[in-house]
Amino acid sequence: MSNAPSTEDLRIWLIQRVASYLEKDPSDISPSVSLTQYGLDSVYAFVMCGDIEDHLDLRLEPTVAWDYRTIDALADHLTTLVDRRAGGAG
Amino acid sequence: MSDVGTLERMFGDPWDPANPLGHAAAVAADEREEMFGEGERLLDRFVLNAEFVPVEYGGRLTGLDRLVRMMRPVWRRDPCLGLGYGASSFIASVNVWTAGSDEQRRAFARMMLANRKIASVYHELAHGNDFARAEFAATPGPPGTLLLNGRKEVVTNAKRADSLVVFARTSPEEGSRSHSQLFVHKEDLPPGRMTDLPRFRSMGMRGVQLGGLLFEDCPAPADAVLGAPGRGMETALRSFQLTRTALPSMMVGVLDTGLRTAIRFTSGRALYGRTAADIPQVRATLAEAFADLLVCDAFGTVAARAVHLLPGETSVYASLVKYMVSKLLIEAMDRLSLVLGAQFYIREGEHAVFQKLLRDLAVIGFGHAARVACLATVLPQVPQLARRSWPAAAEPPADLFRPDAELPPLPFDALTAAASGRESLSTGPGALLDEHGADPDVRRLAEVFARELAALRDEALALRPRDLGVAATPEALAVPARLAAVLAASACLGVWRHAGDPFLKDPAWVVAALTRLTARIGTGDGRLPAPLAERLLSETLTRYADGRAFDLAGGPIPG
Amino acid sequence: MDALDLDRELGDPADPAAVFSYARCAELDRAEEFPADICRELDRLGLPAHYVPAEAGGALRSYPELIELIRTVSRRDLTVAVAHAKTFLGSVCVWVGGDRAQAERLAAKVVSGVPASWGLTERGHGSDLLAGEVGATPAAGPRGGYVLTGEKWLINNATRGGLLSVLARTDPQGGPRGFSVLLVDKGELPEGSYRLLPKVPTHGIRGADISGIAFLGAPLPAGALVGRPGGGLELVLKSLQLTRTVCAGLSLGAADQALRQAEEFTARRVLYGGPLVRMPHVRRTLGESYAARFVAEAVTLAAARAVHALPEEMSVVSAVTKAFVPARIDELIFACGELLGTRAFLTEVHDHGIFQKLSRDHRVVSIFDGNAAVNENVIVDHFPALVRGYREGAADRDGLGRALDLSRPLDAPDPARLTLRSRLGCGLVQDLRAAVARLPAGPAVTALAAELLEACDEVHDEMSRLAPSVRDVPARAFALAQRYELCFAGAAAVGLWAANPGWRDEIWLESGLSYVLARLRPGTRRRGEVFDRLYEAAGRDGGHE
Ligand SMILES: Cc1cc2nc3c(=O)[nH]c(=O)nc-3n(C[C@H](O)[C@H](O)[C@H](O)COP(=O)(O)OP(=O)(O)OC[C@H]3O[C@@H](n4cnc5c(N)ncnc54)[C@H](O)[C@@H]3O)c2cc1C
Ligand SMILES: Cc1cc2nc3c(=O)[nH]c(=O)nc-3n(C[C@H](O)[C@H](O)[C@H](O)COP(=O)(O)OP(=O)(O)OC[C@H]3O[C@@H](n4cnc5c(N)ncnc54)[C@H](O)[C@@H]3O)c2cc1C
Repeated sequence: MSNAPSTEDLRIWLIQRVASYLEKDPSDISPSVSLTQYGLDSVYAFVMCGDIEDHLDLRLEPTVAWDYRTIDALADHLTTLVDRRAGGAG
Repeated sequence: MSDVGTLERMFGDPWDPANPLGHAAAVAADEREEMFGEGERLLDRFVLNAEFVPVEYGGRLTGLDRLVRMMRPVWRRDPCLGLGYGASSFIASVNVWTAGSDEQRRAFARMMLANRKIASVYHELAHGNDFARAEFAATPGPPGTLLLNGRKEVVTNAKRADSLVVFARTSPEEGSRSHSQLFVHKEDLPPGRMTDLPRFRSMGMRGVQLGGLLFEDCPAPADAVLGAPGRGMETALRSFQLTRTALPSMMVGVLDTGLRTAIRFTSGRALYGRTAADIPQVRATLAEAFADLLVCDAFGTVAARAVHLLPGETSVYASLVKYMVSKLLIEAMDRLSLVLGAQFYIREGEHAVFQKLLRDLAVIGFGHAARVACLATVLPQVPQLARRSWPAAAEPPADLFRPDAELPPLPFDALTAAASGRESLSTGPGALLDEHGADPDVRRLAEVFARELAALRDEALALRPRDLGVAATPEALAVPARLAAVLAASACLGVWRHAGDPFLKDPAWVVAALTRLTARIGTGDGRLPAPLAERLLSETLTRYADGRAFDLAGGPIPG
Repeated sequence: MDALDLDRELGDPADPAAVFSYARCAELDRAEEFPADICRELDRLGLPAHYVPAEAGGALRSYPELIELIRTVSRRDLTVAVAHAKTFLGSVCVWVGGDRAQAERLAAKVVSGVPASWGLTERGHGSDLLAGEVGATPAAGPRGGYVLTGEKWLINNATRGGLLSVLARTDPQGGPRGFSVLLVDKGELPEGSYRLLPKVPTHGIRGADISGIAFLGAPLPAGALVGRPGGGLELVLKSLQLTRTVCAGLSLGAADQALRQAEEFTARRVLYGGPLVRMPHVRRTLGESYAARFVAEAVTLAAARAVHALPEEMSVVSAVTKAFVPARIDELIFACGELLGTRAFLTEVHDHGIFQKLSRDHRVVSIFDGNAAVNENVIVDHFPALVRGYREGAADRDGLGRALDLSRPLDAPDPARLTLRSRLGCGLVQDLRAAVARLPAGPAVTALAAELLEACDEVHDEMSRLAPSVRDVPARAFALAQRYELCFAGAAAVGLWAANPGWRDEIWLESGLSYVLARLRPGTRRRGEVFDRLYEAAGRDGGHE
C-alpha cells in the first residue's frame, strides 16, 4: 500500500459519493454536517459502507456511518483504519 | 421428553370434538376473544418457554430450525397460542440474547423457565414500521434511574406480561444511535407511573391480548439498558434476523391444518355423484398447496440453519423469508378457502377452524414488519451483493441443507445489521447445472433460476443510489422480491440434493416447488402439469391417511 | 331514482347520525345484528321497486342502473347490500319464468318491502343442484298444489324473508327435468308446516340473516309453481345468468370503498418523514388498483348491457363476469390492505374498522350464487362454440353495437331470449379482431391491443386443442377459462372505449390493457409506469375519491 489515500483524499471522495446519493452538486455538501440531516437514513449507511469497502478494500462494520456521522468524522476514522492496516502490513 | 412428537401427542387429536385441546375448543376461545386457556396450561406443563432459552442458560434452545419445528404443533392448532403464548416472548428474548449482559440473560431465563410472559414493546401507532422515529423516551432521571415517557400501542401481552423489552429513544438526535432497548420488570416500577391502555380488538388473533402502555415520568433502573446505550437500532436489526426467519416458518403449521381441513372436507363432500376430492381442479389446488408448503418449509429451514452457519449473510435471508413465505401461505389459504366454499365462510361445524386460521394468518403480512419494508431492508444491500457475490464462487456448506445435521450454537455475536455483500445461497441453481446426470426437469428449472440471478445482477448494478431508499421504485423493490424466489428455489434444490428421505430425494417435489416459484419471477404461471400434481397429491393423501405432517420432516401427528 | 340520488338521499356515511352510517354498520357487525333500520330506510327510499321489472309494475328498466344502485349500497356496507338486494335474487325466477299475474302479485309485495329469498342450497349439496333433496309432491284434492318437504340451508333471509323461491324435486327420479321452482309465501303457510333454522355465524356479513328453513309437509297452492313443472333447473340456470351479472355490483362497491380507504390512509399517514403516498410503490399499487377496478367496471358494464342487447350470449357473459370480477376485487382488496397494514386488521382503531369488515364481507361474493369453479366450468363447456365463433369472427353486430354504445337506449330486457348455451359463442371476444383494426388510438394503445389480439389467438388455439371432457374437466381447462376471462375483459375495455369517444381518457384503456396482459402473458416482463401515469391522471380527474 504505497499510496494510501490521505484524509483529504477520503474527504473529497466521500463528498462525491454523498453528492451522488443525493443527486446534488458536490459543492452543496458540507463535510461537517451530519449525514442524517441530508436525509441519508440508516439504509444509506449500508450502501455507503459497501462503497467504502470497495474503494479502500477494507472490511468495515456495516454500521460505521451510524457511529461517524459526518464526512469529516468518517474520513478521520477511515484514515486511522487505513494507517493501521499500512502499519500492520509494514 | 420434549420433542415435537411429545407435544403433538399432548395436544391430542384436534378433530375430536371432545378433546379440550382440539380445534373446537380453540374456535370457541376465539369466539369469546379469549386466549385458549386449556392450551396455555398444556404449554405451561410442557414449559414451552424453555424452547426460547439457550441450553447454557438452562433452556432447550439449541437450534433455530428445531425451535421452528417445536412451535409448529402450536401454530397448527391455534395461532393465538403461537403468538400470544409463544412468539411474543421469543421476540423479546432474542434482544436479550443478542445484547443483554450475563445477568440480564440469567434473569430472563429464570422468568421464562417459570412460565412467565415477557412482552416485546416496540410499536407506536403513530410511527408503525418507522420505529427509528419512535417517540417513547428514556431520559436520565435521578442517579441510577431512567425516566420513561410515552405510549406503546398494539402490543401482545402488554398487560399480563411481568417484564417488558422496550424500544425507547435515548437521545434526541436523529440517526441510528439514538435508541436503546430496556429490559424492565414491572415489579420494579413505582405504582401509578405506568398505566394500561384499553385493549385493541382485531379481526384475527382475536384471543391475543393486544394492549398498550402509557408511561408518565416512570423511573426505571438505569441498568435496564440492553447492551451499550444507543445500540437499540442495531440490536433490533440483528434480532430481526432470528424473528423474521422463525415466525413465518412456524406459521407453516397454519397451512398444514388448512390443507388438512380442505382434504377432510372434499373427501367427504358428495358432488356430482362422487366426492369433491375427485374433481381434477380440486386435486390440483390441493397439490399446489402442498408444493407451496414445502417451498415455505425449505426456505425457512435453510434460512434458520443459515443463522448458525452463515450468520454474516442472514440479514438478507431473514427479510426475504418473511417477504416470500408470508405471501405463499396467505395465497395458499385463499385458494383453499375457495375449495371449502361455504364451509370456509361459516364459523360453526367441523371446518370452522379454517376461517379462524385464515383470519389469524393475516398478521403474517404486516405484523412485526410490513412485507414491503422487508424488501426495503434488503434493497440497499443488493448492489453490493451483485458486485461481490453474484455469481458466487463458494457454495454454502452442505449442512445448511441437512435438517438432521448438528449445528453450532446460535452465534448471537456474529449477526450483523447488514450482510456486507456476502451471500452464498443463490449458488444453488448454478451448482446444479455444473453437475452431470441431474434430472432433466430439475435442470431445466435450475437454468431458469440461474438466468434470473444473472438478470438480477445486471439490474442490481444499474440501480442508482436514490433507488435504494424511501424513493425506491417498484422496479427496484422487485429486485429483492425476485431474489427471494431465487433463494427459495436454491433452498429447495439444496434440500433435495442432500436428502436421504425417499420422497425428498425424488425429483417430483423439487420440480413442483420450482415450477410454483416460476410464477414469482414472471417466467411461468406456476401451475403444475396434471401428472406432477397427481404425484404430489398422492403423497399428500398418504400423509393425511397416515397422520403425518405435510412439512419436510413429515413427522407423526395425531388425528 | 338513480345511484347518485340514492347516495344523496342516504346522507353522509361518515356522519354517525345518519341511519346508514359507517359507525352504525360497524356496531351492527360487532353485535352480529341484522341491519333492520338501514334496510327499512332503503325500503322507504324505494329501492325494492328497482328489483322489479317495469312491466310488472316496478322500476327496473336497466341492468346497468340496478348494478349501480347495488354498488352504491355496497360501497357503504356489503352486509346491507347482501341483505337487501337478495330480494332481487329471491324474485328473479318469477320475472324470468312466471306468468303475468304471478309477476304482478309478487311485484306488489316486493315493492311494499317484503323481502324475498332464494332457496337452492341444501346442507349436503351446494353447486350440484341436481342432487337437491327437498321434494314437492302433488297435493291430494281438487285444488291441486303441492306438499313441500325437506330442508334448505344456508339461505340468505330464510328467517326474515316473507317469500322464498325454492328449487324442489318434483320427480323422485330427479334429473334435469325433475325439478321445479315454487314460490313460497311464508305468510300463507299453516303454522307448524315449516321450521326456521338458527342463524349461522359467518366469517363476514355477520349481521346478515344466513339461516335455513325446513319444510314439514308444507301445503302450497297450485299457483306457487313458477314456470313449467319440471322446468326448474332450466329456470334457475337462466335466472342465475341475471343474478351472477348483478353480483358484480357488490364487488365494485367493495372496490370503491377499499380504494377510498387506501387513498385516504396513504395521503394522511406520515412515515419516514413524509406522507406514505410519496413512496413510488404506494402510488403504483394505487394506480394498478384503479386499473383493476376499471377493467372490472368494463366487464360489468358490457355484461349488464348485454342482458338487454345480447341475451342469447348471457350464459357465457354472466359466467365470465361472476368468475372474473369478484376474484379480481379480492386481489384489489388484498393490495389495498397491504397499504393499510395494522389498520386493515384492528377493528376499532381506524375509521370504524371498515376495511377489515369489507375484506371479510367480500369473500362471500366469490362463493355464493355460483363459485368461480362452477362458472369456469360453464365457460369450458362453451369452448367449442367459442373457438368456432372466434375463428369465424362471428358476432351479432347490431346487438354488440347496442351493448357497447352507451348513448343508445336499452331495450326492455327479454328473459325469454336467455338460453342455457350460447350458440353464437361470445360476440364481444369474437369481434375483437375487427375492433382492434379500427381502434382510433395512439401508438401505445394500438400496440397493446395488437398484443391482446395475439394473446387471444393463442388462448383460442389452446382451447381448440383441449379434448372435450364433460366429467373430468382437467385443471388445465380451468386455467384456460381464466385466460379466456382476461380476453373478455380486454375486449370489453377496447369495445367500450372505441364505441364511446370521450368516455374515458386513453390512459385508462392503456392501463386496463396493461393490467390484462400482465396476467394473460405472465412470462413477458413489462414496465408498470403506465400505472403511475394512471395514478396521476386519476388525481387530475378527481378520480381519487
Ligand atoms: C396481532 C398483533 C400483534 C402485535 N404484537 C406486537 C408486539 O407484541 N409488540 C409490538 O411492538 N408490536 C406489535 N404489533 C404491532 C405491529 O408490529 C405493527 O403493526 C407493525 O409494525 C406494522 O405497523 P403499521 O401497521 O402501523 O404499519 P405502517 O408502518 O403504518 O405501514 C403502513 C404501510 O406502509 C408501507 N411501508 C411501511 N414501511 C415501509 C418501508 N420501509 N418501505 C416501503 N413501504 C413501507 C407498507 O405498505 C405498510 O403496510 C402487533 C400487531 C398485531 C396486529
Ligand atoms: C353467506 C352465504 C349465503 C348464502 N346464501 C344462499 C342463498 O341465499 N341461497 C342459496 O341457495 N344458497 C346460498 N348459499 C350457498 C351457496 O350458494 C353455495 O355455497 C354455493 O352454491 C356453492 O356450494 P358449496 O360452497 O357448498 O360448495 P360445493 O358445491 O360443495 O363444492 C365444493 C367445492 O368443489 C369445487 N367444485 C364445485 N363444483 C365444481 C365444478 N363444476 N368444477 C370444479 N370444481 C367444482 C369448488 O371448489 C367448491 O368450492 C350461501 C352461502 C353462503 C356462504
